Amino acid sequence: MVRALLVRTARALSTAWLIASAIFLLSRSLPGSGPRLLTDEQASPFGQQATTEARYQQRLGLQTPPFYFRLLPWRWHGTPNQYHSWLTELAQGNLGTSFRDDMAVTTHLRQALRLTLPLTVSALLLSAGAALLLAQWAVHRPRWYHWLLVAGYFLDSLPLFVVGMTLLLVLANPDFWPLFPAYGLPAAASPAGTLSWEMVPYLVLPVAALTLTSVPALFLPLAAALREQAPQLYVTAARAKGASRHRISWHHLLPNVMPVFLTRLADLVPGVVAGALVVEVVFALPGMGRLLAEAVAARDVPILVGGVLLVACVRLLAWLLADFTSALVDPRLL
Amino acid sequence: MGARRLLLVSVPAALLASIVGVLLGTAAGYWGDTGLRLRQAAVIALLTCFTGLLVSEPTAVGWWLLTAALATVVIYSLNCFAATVAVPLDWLVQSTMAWLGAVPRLVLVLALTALHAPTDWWLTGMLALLCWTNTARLTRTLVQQLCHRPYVEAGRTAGLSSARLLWHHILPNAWPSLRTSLPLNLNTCLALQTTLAFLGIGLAPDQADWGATLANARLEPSAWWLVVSALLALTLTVVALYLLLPPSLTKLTVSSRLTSPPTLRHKY
Repeated sequence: MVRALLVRTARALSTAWLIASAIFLLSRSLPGSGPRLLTDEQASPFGQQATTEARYQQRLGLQTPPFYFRLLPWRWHGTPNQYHSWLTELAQGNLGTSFRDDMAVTTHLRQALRLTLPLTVSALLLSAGAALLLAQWAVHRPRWYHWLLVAGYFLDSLPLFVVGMTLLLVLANPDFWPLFPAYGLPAAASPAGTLSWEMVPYLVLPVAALTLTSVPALFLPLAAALREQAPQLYVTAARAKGASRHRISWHHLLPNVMPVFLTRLADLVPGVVAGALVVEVVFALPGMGRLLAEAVAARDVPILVGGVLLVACVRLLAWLLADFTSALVDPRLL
Repeated sequence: MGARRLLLVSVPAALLASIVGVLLGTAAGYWGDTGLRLRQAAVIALLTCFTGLLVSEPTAVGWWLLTAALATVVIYSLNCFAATVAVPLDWLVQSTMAWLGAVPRLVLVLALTALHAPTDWWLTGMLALLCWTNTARLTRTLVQQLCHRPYVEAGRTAGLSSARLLWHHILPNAWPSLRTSLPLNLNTCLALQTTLAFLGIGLAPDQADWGATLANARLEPSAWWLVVSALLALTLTVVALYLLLPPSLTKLTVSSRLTSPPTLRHKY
């Protein structure tokens, strides 16, 4: 078990490193993929553009070659290169500084996570709870199960921003039901501020959109597994001994489908983080999603690579947790 | 206009993803790690030529390719290079799939689109690159199962070639399940493409897209018809794609225990 976990961790870490390296190297080697450093006003028309850009490149450390060597034709550059310095800094836990404002990437990410973490965690907990309750309820009601299945497939196939926009159109529109505030956060809450109860109405719709799109991914496999277990002999035996339906559902069926549920939940975690990206843009919340979308628009590579690494680490953590809890629930998996 | 972009970007991307997925999945499922063997000398010659190609001037690329082709022909025509080595096809395909699946698609496609100026072919390529894995996984499992059927064993004993076995005996039997992959891929590509457009990425400013329409509609909340028209177009397309699926797929997923339909492998 420990060995399997170690192998899995090593593999996931190396995958994360490979992906981050690929994005870093592609960003430095593709033509025209450098950061958009200058706006039209800054790039003065009097021939000073070249010198200004050279100064920018000096400041951002872009004047050294991108990798240890180049191909077509072969040339060895040695250690003074952009990848080497990025990797050394990464080993010390430093993700570099943003191209745009020279702030550390870790500071940017930490600030963004203050909002994204509550958003995603509450959406995950809500969808896990809702999927469990719905699946247990629908197992004994075939007709309802059929309709829930159709609704689940429908919701699952829609892009998340469609669900978000529909909620926005119906529940936060002055022409329909203006139940919730539409955009952003209350004026008092600064982006670096802590969470307060004032923010709750602003987070209802984003959490609802995330939950609605995540529930089918948990509910459909869970309900299928529960229906598969329901006609098993141990259920009949429990019923013959006089166990109530409630007891059978929660004490006999549930532990047997827990591994399926936990694996699905672990698969969902990075999906919800990615979903938060869309939801934050829809509802104009200053979190990870906005940070990454703005970084993409400005080709701010350090922030992008930092974000990708963070999401890969979240996935790794989710897998490890799922493995661990599955082993706790079902010791045969050890 | 949004429909035109769907035709220009999502449809080619989904087609490409399905074709690549079926090809790689079939190869991985049929040959596995040991089924495909190449002559050792040919592998060495190809690797040498590839390394030579990478370290020399770009003008010499043609010569290296010609040398590689000639060397392969010579090695396969002479009997003294009979030693073979197995190509770990299955391992290669599975590792690539694991590598691409380590980060949610949306995050990867976001990062990759940012690296290049917004052109349709780059977006199509990126979407295809990230979407082929579901089809490949499905095809690989199907082909692996079909390979052990008695009629395939009988065909192999009768001396049929791999191409004939695959084309005439295995793929026709895998087709009923495989035909679901194109609508599902199209759905994924459409979702990713419109989401990107919604975020304002990978789209030239003068292009129209359902996602971009929705993003612009947010600026004017009272213009509900803008939102409703784009939402309707998107939703109806998605529903139409799902109606293309055979009804057996939904039944199949209800009865299967651990396996899930391809769409449920996290949307982003």
